[in-house]
Amino acid sequence: MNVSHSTHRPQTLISNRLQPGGTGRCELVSRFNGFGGASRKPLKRLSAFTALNTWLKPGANERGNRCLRRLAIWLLGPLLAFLATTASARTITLKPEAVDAFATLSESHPRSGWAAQQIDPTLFVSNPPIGGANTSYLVRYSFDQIPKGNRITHAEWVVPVGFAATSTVTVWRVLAEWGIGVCHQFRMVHPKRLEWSVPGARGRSVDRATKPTGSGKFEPGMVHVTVNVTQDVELWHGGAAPNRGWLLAFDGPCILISPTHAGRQQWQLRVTYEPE
Amino acid sequence: MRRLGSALLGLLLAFTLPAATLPREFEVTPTPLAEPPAFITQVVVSNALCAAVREASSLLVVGQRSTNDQHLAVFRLGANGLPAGEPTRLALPKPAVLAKHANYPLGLLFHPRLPVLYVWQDISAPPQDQQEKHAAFTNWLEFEHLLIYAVKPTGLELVETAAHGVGFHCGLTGGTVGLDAAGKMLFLPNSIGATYDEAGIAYYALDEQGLPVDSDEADAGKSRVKAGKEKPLASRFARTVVALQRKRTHRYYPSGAGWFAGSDAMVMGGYSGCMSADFQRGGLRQSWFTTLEFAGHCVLAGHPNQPAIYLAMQNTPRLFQLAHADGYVSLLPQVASAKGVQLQGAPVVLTQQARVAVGAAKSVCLFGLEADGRLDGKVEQVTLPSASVRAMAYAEKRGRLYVAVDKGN
Repeated sequence: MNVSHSTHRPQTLISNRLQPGGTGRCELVSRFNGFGGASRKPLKRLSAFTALNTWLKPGANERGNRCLRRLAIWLLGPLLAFLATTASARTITLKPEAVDAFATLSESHPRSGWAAQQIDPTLFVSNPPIGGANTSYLVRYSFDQIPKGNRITHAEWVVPVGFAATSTVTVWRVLAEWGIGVCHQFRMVHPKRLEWSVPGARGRSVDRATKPTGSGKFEPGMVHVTVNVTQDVELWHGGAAPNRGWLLAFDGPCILISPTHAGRQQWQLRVTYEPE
Repeated sequence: MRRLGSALLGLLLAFTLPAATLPREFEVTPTPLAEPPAFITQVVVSNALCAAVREASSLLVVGQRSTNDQHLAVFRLGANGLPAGEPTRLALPKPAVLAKHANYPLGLLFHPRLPVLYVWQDISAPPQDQQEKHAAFTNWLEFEHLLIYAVKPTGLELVETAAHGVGFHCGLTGGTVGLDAAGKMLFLPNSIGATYDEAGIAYYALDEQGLPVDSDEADAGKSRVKAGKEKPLASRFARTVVALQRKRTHRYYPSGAGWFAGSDAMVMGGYSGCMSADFQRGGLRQSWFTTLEFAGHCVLAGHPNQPAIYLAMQNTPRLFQLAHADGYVSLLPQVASAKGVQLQGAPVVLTQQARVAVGAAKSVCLFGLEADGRLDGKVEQVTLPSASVRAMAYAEKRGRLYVAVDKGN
């Protein structure tokens, strides 16, 4: 990159101590300046390199230089291979470890954000999670594992279920922000008490999207359903909409595999992306 | 070549540096501290099991296992918060027929407003499948688990005993008492569930003096001590005769392993998780949170100012941090594993130091906290002269953590 083409005046990026003249280091730093434009921010990022250059000063540490050269040659191959792979599409599988928020919305216990399985009128437990017409789940993934500068080309979500389930699961993109204290009645209680527009995040276009993202029917012998969630992941990863996760709603009773307990590895979100 | 080398190293660092955000589940190696921090005050009480401090009365009480009937060590605290002189020793009462069996305190709790100390004690007993109505358990039916002491200028004075009979299990090593947010309901651990290995909980309504009272009288604001006729918390001790409410939990013993009073629900530590309990249509409703893939006895404490509770899974390295709202557990927990540490006893929240202290063998672990009560990923470890550190109490105004140790430094 040639900085003379820039419309900005190159900034002085080397301290006085590092301007011995005729060493060529100025040229190196100017190239880095080209990456960051004319802002002050790249200067901080360059401090490590300038310090390294000081250490690499001819004669200052010849033995160290030799070692570094060997290291550089040794690293060059793997680095080039790594860069080559990043240039093409990749698919990663987000496991339940990437789930960063989870909650139960149960009409029969409107304040509980965890325990939805009702054993008797006075006892609710959290595992296994049982979905139903009056019980739904909020699940949010973190997409930190997908590098920035990539676009999502495909995403599918595998929702596992216990045996003998026959209900339909519908996946909705959640629009309203939710947090500590989320439950059937509230979308958050701390730091502010906020209710869903319709309890259970049922308010279309306010609590959840106008149309469902997708759906699938559990049938005997079927251990999971797969829902295409490409559009939602693309919206979130691209920053067009905040990531507030999905709502899993059911039309009848079904036992899910818990995304937080034994067997949780069956929950998978497969995302394919490629450089923009 | 030098340029290439520096560029390569820079790229390598960029790809290998750890992410700034803390994973929800993480393992951390505790940083050993050369000296105990200044906010820790050690008191020598061997085989200590529990402790409580009441700043308004400048009183620190430590409960211990004892072979010579010295179960409570009562320290007077000076103006600087340090123990002033040797402690007064108290024995916990038990029926004469059980004289050969060792009783021991498991939990101490001062009422936040009233000068009352609740003590939960237990005693060595027949195996758990030979209790309740079993003939071998007959002698234990008179053992009183709950002892209520009045805090007086002269010291502690036993005023009432309660919680005995077939309704309670004996011989346990965990469980304590808890008060609701209003201080009007006292929750008890280790009552009998539906089977011999299932724990229940129990609760008393309290009158204006912090003594058990029948629920209907509590609702009417009545007290058993008539004003003007008898001095409050008179110097007599009696067995309570009021009705006790009990509830099965569907979980193993011990129950009541730490309590936190939310504004709408109580949270209780228990087997493999914690329970939120609220009252609905006159009955106690339980909602259980189960600790993910791990099983074991969990002891709980809550942050007094932030929406966070802490579960220490006993004899494991795991500390869970859960959010709650008004006492209802919420969202996914943080799970910290302190490498090489087996946690013991109840967590203690140090509000001024932004840490949670949890005992361990010969040490205390100090888990760092963010401003919102979440774990920050840092753990410090303080070595102390005690085989097992379990008894700790925190004086919030003074910012001082009292730790009972086996011997002096």
